[in-house]
Amino acid sequence: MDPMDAIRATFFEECAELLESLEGGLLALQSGTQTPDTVDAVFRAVHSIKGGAGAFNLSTLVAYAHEFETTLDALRSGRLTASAEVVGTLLRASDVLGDLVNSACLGEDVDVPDTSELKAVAGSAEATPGKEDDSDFNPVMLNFGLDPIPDDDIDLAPTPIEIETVPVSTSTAAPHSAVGKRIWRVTFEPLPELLVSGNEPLFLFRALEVLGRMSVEALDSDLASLSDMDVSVPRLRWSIRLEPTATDLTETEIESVFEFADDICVLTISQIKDEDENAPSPQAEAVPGQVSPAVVEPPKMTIKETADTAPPPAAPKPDVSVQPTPIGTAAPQAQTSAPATIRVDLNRVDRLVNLVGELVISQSMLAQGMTRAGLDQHSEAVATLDELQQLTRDMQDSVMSIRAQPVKSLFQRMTRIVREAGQATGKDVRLVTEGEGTEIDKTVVERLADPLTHMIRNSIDHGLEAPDERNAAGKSPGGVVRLSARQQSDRVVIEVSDDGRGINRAKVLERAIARGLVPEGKTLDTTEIDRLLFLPGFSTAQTVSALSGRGVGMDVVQRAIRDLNGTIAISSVEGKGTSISISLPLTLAILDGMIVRSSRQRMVIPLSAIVETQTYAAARIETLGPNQSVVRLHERFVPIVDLAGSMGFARQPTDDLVEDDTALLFVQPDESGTFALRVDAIEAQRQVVIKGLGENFGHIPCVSAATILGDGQVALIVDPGGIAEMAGLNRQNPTLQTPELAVQ
Amino acid sequence: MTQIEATVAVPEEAGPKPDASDVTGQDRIELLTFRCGGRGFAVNIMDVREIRSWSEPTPLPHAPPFMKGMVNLRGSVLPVMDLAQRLGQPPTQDDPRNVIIVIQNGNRVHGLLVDAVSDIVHPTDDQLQDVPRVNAEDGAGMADRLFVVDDKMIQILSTSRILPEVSRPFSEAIA
Repeated sequence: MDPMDAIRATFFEECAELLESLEGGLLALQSGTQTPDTVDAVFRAVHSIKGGAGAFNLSTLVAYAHEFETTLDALRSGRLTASAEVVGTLLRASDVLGDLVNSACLGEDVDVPDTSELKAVAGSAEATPGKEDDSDFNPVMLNFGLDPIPDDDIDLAPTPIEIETVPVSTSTAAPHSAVGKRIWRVTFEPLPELLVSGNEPLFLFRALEVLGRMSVEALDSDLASLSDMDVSVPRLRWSIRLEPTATDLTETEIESVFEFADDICVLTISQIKDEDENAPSPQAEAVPGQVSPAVVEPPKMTIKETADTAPPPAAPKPDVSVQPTPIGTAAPQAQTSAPATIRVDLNRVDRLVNLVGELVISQSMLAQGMTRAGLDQHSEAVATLDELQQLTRDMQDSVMSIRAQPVKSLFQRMTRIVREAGQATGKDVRLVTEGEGTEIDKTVVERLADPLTHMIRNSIDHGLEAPDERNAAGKSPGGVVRLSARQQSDRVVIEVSDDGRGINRAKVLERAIARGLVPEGKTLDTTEIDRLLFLPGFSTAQTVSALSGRGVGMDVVQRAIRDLNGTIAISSVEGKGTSISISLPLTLAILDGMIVRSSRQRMVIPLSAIVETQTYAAARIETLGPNQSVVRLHERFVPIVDLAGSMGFARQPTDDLVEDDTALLFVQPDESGTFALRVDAIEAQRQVVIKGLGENFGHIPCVSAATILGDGQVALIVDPGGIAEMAGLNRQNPTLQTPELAVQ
Repeated sequence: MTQIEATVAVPEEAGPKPDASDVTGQDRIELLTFRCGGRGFAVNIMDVREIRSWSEPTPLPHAPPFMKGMVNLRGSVLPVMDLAQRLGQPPTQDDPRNVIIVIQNGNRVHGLLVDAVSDIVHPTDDQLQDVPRVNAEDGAGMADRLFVVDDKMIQILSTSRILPEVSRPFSEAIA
């Protein structure tokens, strides 16, 4: 890949993060849960997008972001209050900005969208319009090389070192004891990577300027002579004096400005007290005398002059005794800095996950080998193996937690879906989210976006009533869609519920009969009717709207969830609302399963689907027809399905004999009711490593994935929902053919 | 920075070029020849990842008969098909000399069950012939070129065409 493309890709990746924090901030404003930093964070997000877009010449994006920024500036300076109306406009603007980023990413050419709404909001702010920070800032930038004080002892060669603290002068006190207005001094030394990654110090300074009045000095003592200059190595350093607008500005806030340049620059932030303010000047005169004469050149140096006169990079640095004293305290950065994070390619993490999986398998092979060797249970080897088992389990957990991600980003994406769907249908909808901090595997989070979008659109389009209908029903005109996530033992439950009209079961049944899905005159109980919604090609919408009802229905959602090893359930109270809940495994890498044998094949049944087990001999089995039998589970009869038979495996003649070990596993895959799986034997209950079948196999009916057992054999992980489908248990009409097998 | 390096490194695991194009255009290609159902075949050696001995595969449900199942290939799950059956011949007889040729096509890795591996040959371009048009059904279109070794015809198979098509995951239907 072209290095420029890589940088571009990084920019768009960052944009996604920025848009997320933008939306998050605006939503906080909307719900009134904002902190003093919220508006700043929102502003910074838009600002960073604008800055990056400028670097890539994305003029449309820059233009729009600029308008957006202007409006936000009014908000930040307090000229505009964050009323519901204003925040609404801003949220819409953030959607537009997101769209612009997308089309910029795809390289599409678009016109600058209508900014009149933003302008109107900005205009409504009293007095002065938002200032143009470009014009405002330039003079400061021209303050090039005023007093070239090497005011810290940073090494000449730029090396990626930890945030370096400025030497503490003895006269100063701890940062928090400082009274009155605090002044900050920030020194900034870019490393070569800063330029490579497309960062521009100017943008950083602009972002910093947002925090208060500042003056910038460029320190050019490191400049090489023009002939020796390597343009890819930044030689300038900057010292910034910042007088914050907010007196309680913290170091972390300043640091966050440099967030994206975190590990590619050397940054020191320290506080100076007001009275020290004038100190730099005398110091400036004192220091050069002891350094190299070249630095004492007149302050109005141009780059050219500097190139002629500046000492070569190897020039002696001011000795430690000439430490600049103006700078007050070195703040304890180490303690205050946010937890360090690194960006890692997902492939690397996956490789690690796979390796740990291998480790688990080898370890269980080892355990089996040791048992076969007949080692004493109390021998040292067995004890060590136990220890190893504990370690691998811990390691597995830690590796899995790397892939875990809070569902917050997913939920935030849904707010936009709700806004748009609400607009399209003319309904007033509010999205309430709960449990955003719930963590789940990254892949699950990503693959949930489509099904969730679909479910939410369904809720708004079909579930919620129009405002007048709601009024008539005695509800508030605005509908509520609730999106919640919570962890339940080793699964995550995500629920989409609305306070709409609920499922009109009579209509559902009528439609199912009209479509030939249910024979006429058949009576179904409510859960059976609700289950009809998951049948392929079922849609209750009278008119096909742009939103939903395109014939792609809940069945596709169910498939997608099942592909994630999840289950889906629906419940509804007529007139009160509908709730659909999805239960998902925490990880797609490990599964708790029961290893069973059927027709000489070993297979794994997910433990989460198993309700109960019985031995075949003890079960109360009744025969209905030649190949149909049912078994009594508590007070209900449930169908029996032979595992190998439904998988299409030929049974050996001898297999037909019911062995002593033959057992029935009562399984309940999502909404399709409980049934009994007949297996030849239950072998063990164990954690297995999931091996996706993915690209090599495509979708295989009745199978969700495979695993490798302790002896190295591959075993299939059974999808109980697929078995129910294959056996035709979901169909209310027995005359219908089983679906075409998706062979090949 | 990690990000950038990684993205640069990721695309294409330096895999062999996919397809028939390898067969033509080069002065000398290297082919792995093998026997299957009594006939001689060859694949471009650049498409071969490894050759491994036969082990009993785990059958796949509702799969076409030529899909033997899957075996454990050092921790990943490898689909194995009986090449003879794939080409419309009777199934390969159980024999300890049977081997699985592991071939790679793009991101897909597949095992081919064959009778035995014969040789590695370097035919020159003029030794290769185009496949004459025959109105045949059996394995039609699986071979790219033909050539003769020891008076016996060898068919050069196209790896992309041998692999069965896979059905796409359902999640794609939602979008």
